[in-house]
Amino acid sequence: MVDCNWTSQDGFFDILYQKQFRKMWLLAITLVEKPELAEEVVQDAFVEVLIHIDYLMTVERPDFWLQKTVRNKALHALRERTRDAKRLIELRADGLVDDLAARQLADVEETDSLSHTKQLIVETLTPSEFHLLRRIAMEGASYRTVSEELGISISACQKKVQRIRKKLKKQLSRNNS
Amino acid sequence: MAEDTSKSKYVYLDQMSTEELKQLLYAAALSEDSGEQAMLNHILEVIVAREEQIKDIAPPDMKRVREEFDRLYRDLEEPLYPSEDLEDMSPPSPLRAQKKSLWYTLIAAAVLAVLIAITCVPVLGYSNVVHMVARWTADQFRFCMTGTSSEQKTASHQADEAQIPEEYAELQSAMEQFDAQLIIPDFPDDFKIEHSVLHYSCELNRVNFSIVYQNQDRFFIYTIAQNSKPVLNGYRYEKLHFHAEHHIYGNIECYILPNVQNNTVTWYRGKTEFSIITNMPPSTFEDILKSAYEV
Repeated sequence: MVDCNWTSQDGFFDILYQKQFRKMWLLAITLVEKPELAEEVVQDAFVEVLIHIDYLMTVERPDFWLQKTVRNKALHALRERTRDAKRLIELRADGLVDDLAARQLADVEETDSLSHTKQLIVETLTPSEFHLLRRIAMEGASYRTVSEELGISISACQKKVQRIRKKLKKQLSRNNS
Repeated sequence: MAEDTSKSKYVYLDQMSTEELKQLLYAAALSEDSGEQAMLNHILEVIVAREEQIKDIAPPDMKRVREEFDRLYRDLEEPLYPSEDLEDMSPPSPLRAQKKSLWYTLIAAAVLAVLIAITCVPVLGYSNVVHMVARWTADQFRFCMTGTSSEQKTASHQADEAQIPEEYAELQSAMEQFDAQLIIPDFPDDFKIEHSVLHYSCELNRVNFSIVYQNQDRFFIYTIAQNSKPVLNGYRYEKLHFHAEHHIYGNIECYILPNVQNNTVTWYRGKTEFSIITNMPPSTFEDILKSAYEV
């Protein structure tokens, strides 16, 4: 139950944040296991609180709403990353993908086993795009961590990842048809 | 008090070890049963009170996370991770309102509302109107055929010939061929017709019509799907709430289906399925439907 000693949206939010963050983080980490991802899921849930604050100030148990939101977001984050990982694995050929992402593709000698994979990756993802998606999908990094590594905002990072996912999905469905 | 009841109901959990509670926590977190919320909340409170660490990881520093929230997350244009099944149906607060182009909105509304095409099932000796009933799951709604019944006359405001907007003229001709009633509700005066689409198939005896009313970035999309042959299932609509909100306006039964940024109302009369999708609050549906069906 949220303390009713608030007279403004800011007061309501501050109290909810202070009282619930740690509990919600416990819930999130139970599902996603990675601390930084759990933290980001909870921060994102509080972004939703701001969006829906007018409604939440009228309900009896906004903490239950928050609980459900954190749960859904954690499960969504897991599903999304699992799907990304599967798609990245589809691009694999003889375990060469990680090496290709790390090096300049032009330096890689053409061989029969590499050419198809290289072509697919070049057509699908640039090395930096591959690296970004791998950080998110395989290594479970949060948008916030990756955005700091790249020197961009979290929003910009999110949009980049969305574009990469779209590109990858399109390419893989084209290959599978 | 709800909180006291919860505490006494789950007091047995206080006797469990943290390890046991962690296992319960995982199971409760995955459960879709909304009744588990109170138990989940109690478990979390017990673990926090014991100041136990989960997976040997210290909880985040509150001062740091709050500072980061204000600096990095507060002004995000949209949440990073979607959250289905949000209970709040109120429009977003002005801080988070976003402009969307009409076409993006149309595409989003179409994706929300139309997932499968109507299927036709020929029925020999068909003479009565198909009886459609509402069916829904946690996140989808549709009308399904259950049998046949006599058609009930619907008292409605039939469109006056002289007042029919030209966008509806062709639709009226198409529907007259199937002896179906054209209903044109009154949308708010400050909304103007922007676009309309009519698909009419003689072969399939089917008419599908959509029309968009718009005022800046607010819109209504009115859709009519008429089948002269009975159909097994109507359009499938996505929604947020587990329950679809059932209402009676005038003398028709309709269902209001809230979703993330749009609300839909849908109803079935005779052989025709109607729907209105809007980014306005659901309360706007009442006047619109009453204008069509209250005599």
